Amino acid sequence: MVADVNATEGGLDVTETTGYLSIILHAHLPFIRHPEYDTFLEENWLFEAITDCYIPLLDVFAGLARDNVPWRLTMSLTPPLAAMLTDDLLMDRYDKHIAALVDLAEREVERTRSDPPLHRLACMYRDRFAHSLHAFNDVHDRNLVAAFGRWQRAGQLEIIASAATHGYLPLMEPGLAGAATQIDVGIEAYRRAFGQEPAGFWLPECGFNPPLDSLLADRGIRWFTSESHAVLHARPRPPHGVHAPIVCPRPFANGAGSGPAVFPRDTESSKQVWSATEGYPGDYDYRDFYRDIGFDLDYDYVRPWLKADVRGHTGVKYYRITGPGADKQLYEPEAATAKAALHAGNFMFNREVQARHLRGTMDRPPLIVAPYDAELFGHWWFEGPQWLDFLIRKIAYDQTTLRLITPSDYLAMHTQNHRAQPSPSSWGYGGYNEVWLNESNDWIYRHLHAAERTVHTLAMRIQNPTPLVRRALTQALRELLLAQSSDWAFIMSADTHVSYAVRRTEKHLTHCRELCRQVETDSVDEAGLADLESRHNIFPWLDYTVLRDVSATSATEGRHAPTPVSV
Amino acid sequence: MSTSPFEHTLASEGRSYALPLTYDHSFLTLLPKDPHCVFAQWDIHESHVPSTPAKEAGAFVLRMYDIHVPLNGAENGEASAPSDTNSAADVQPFVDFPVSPRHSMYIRLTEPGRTVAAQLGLLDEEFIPLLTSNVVTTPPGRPAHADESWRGAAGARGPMFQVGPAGAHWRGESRGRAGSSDFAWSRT
Repeated sequence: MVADVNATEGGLDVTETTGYLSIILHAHLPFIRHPEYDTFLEENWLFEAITDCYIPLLDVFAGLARDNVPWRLTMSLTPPLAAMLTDDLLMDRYDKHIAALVDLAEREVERTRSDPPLHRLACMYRDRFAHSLHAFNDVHDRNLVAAFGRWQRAGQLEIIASAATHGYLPLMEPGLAGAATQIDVGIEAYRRAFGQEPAGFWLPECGFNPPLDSLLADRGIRWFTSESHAVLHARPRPPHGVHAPIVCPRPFANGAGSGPAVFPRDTESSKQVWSATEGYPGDYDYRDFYRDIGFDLDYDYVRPWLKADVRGHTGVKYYRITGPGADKQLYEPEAATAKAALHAGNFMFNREVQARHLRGTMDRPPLIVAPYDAELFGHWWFEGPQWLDFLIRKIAYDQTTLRLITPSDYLAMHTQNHRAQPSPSSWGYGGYNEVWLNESNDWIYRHLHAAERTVHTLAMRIQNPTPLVRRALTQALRELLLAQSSDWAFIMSADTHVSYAVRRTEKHLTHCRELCRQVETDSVDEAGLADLESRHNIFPWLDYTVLRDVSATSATEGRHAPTPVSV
Repeated sequence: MSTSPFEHTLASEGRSYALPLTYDHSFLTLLPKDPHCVFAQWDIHESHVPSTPAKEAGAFVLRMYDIHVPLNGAENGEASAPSDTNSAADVQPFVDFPVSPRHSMYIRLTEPGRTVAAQLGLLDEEFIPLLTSNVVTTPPGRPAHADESWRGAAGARGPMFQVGPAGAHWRGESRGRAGSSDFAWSRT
């Protein structure tokens, strides 16, 4: 169970708090693992996130604990990301990757000795990469999932579940169990990673459509996040805009009250961080992401650290944003840190003003929900973890208006919430489904739906399978789940690594169809199956009968008896 | 993220993962795109099409229904798809779009928050429905009025389908008439 929060600890006294701030970090990467190659460029996405984001966030948490600073954050750590972070092959590769970066940084330290400002930055990277190597191996025992889990057990972090492979649930085959299966497998993955039931759920891309609220209610999920207009456009009109959750009308399965609560994103706080033009990350003192020595220095010099011998990002970046043009000045860490502190103070000040303004119009303290992609902090915005650290400390010591809480904390303090049906919505561009359904990617849905139908039909029909057939059907489901990752449609829409996304979609669907054909014709190729199981090895505990469990669960039956969230 | 030299790995794998053009299953599915747009995709297996002059003439139509009146006694404002008979046309306003047997298209709606369904069929002297879709309700696209319940406002409304390239509007009439050939649709 989520750690209970004593309402008087950490200043969480309802009567004194003017406003609540709930920061939600959504950590997700698609499942990318290619043991068939010695190295694979797209695996770098994970390695970069570990170095730039996940280890720095854990460092922030450790520093707060060391200094006895109270804090409360929410985090989603999606199943594909958790699977990669606990995969031996990928963690071995990360170890080699970061050790190689330490080596690169050492060479840079030597190369820049005669240029003191540059040399200082090279030393910064050497120390940073050495710290990452040490933290990964010696502090966290190569298991960052367990590291984050420890903060949940300690009571500071609430980790929430998400869909199995981050499938975009509103576009699953209507009338079939696709969305339910994504949710069920995602919750099981959460249980195995964190040893408890999740209270909250991150809908991928905040993509909501009825009856997802019913599906979540049936599975005991007490709350989920949404885009702003899921609540702003809810019926009937909620009285507090996005500054209080609503509760879905669909009751929990045990009749214990209304359905999951919906926590909508606050656009004001989002814009200050996310906006490419107005947000903090674009400040001229911050590190420039694109000026990397992988592009700037002599090719033969950097080649040993480039994947597939193609110029790319190494992680060693010496310049600050400086301005809108191509002219970039050297990065100055102290100035950047000072700016992060300033921006943290600015963010806090704006939330205080916002909370005081809203408090006068509400019957309870307003809640400001601020969800962000976790990878923003440290990867895209190098100083992001510093900003977060400053913000948490300033909230703890420099003011009394705001309190950091999680959505579960809110529901524990406020058991009466307005009931309304949320609107279909997402946090993608346009606010609905267009990012995942447009002319660049709409072709995938007939194939995804056909695969869903085939796997579902076989799962219902096959009784008493042999162990080999069971494995084949389970791997077919695994391939289907991997094909359903919303990341592929997103990438096609963003027109970035399109060929990779198309290939992943085609391969997983082809493998799925082939396995189903082999089951139907009683011709399972065990060697081929074993090869797929070893390469596409997400959810090793998965069994295809989860499809049957989903179908057997009617809308009126539930498997959990959660604590009521609304009377 | 770093750019990918993925093409060389594709060439080295040496096998095709091309997906089939068609499956054995006939289907008609609607997916909501946004408050004003629904995506329809379909494929009808030839064996599921009766031999008629309309089939020989390739006179397939996608009939889009505007469901604002609950069908089949559905409660709580929930709509159900039209049954596979022409009686649906007597109850629900509809619009016909000439289509081919396997295709997809985006259909723009004149208003958000509408409940729609579709049938794929042959149109000759009468409409022969062959496939029926799921029911989709598009998002409301705006905050609720003070007196608007979450079940939605009932009542007849005006024409709702609008198809065409940007700036060129065609409005289907509520009692159904095949639309003009000036469609905007996407091919798969």
